[in-house]
Amino acid sequence: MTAAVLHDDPIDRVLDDVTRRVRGPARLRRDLLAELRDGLEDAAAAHEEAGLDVGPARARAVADFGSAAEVGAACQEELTAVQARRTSLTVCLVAPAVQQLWMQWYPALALSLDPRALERQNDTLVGLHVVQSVLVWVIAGAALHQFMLLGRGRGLAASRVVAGLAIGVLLLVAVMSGTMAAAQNWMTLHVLAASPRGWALAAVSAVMWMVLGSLTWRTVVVTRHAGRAAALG
Amino acid sequence: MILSVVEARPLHGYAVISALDDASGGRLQLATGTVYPALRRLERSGLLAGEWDTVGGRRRRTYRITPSGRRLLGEERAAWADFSRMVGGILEPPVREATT
Repeated sequence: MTAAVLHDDPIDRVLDDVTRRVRGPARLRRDLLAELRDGLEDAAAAHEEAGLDVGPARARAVADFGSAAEVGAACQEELTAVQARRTSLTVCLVAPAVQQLWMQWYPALALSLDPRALERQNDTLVGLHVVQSVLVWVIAGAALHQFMLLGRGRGLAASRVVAGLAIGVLLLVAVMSGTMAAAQNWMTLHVLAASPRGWALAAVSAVMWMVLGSLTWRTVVVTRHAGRAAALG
Repeated sequence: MILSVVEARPLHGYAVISALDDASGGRLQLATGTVYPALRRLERSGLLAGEWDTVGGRRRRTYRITPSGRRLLGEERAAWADFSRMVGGILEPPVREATT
């Protein structure tokens, strides 16, 4: 008898259960599940060599494997850490990069539209801009720190911090930029719409923030999932 | 423990589990499924390097120890030797001096 004729194969059953329990980066998820299957098939083959029939050998391999909840929680923590590591790197690269791009391009664009544009900025607006700049760099530094911790094997706690930092930088930029734009009667939009360089700046910023937003969403989802899996596992 | 068993040669996941079982004389009761994410965590930490190979017609992920892993293993061994000497010094009965 071979494994193929087992109608209710315990290895398939436990792997299906683990598969349902894990979320995260697709390639790592696929690789981890393939490794789990390899390991179970190896274990079953070893038990067969030791004298067990196919069915009992496969059941024994599954019994040694651990529960789907326990294995799923361990896999989920790893998947979450890898997702959080990607997000932390993106936060520490994208947030300061977009900010620097605006600092390099925006003043020239505004001046080309209105030579007195920058003179009309009051102290409050300049102050808000400085606060935003400092906070973006602080968050980028914290994200870099978490990236390094995750590279030293840290797991769920560091992933939660990364999720918080990513949400924080998105909210910060949305609220502060929106406030500053509104305070200038949405002059920012006129400046961006006035030239191809302005359109390019808006497009690059939008793409970068969408990438970061997407990674942030995924990190939040897998981190919450890992927390629940750890509680069950 | 995982670093110790892959120190001598690269191993795939099940071979790591078998080596741990052999080294512990069968007394280490692991949920074998948790070893694979642990291997990935060590790889993420730069202590192991993993790559897919084809062995006997099947793809397998094989892990080898990195220089950082070897260094950490040496440090862990030294720390364990210190700890076991300290505990041994407390628990072992004092040697009685021979009376004449």
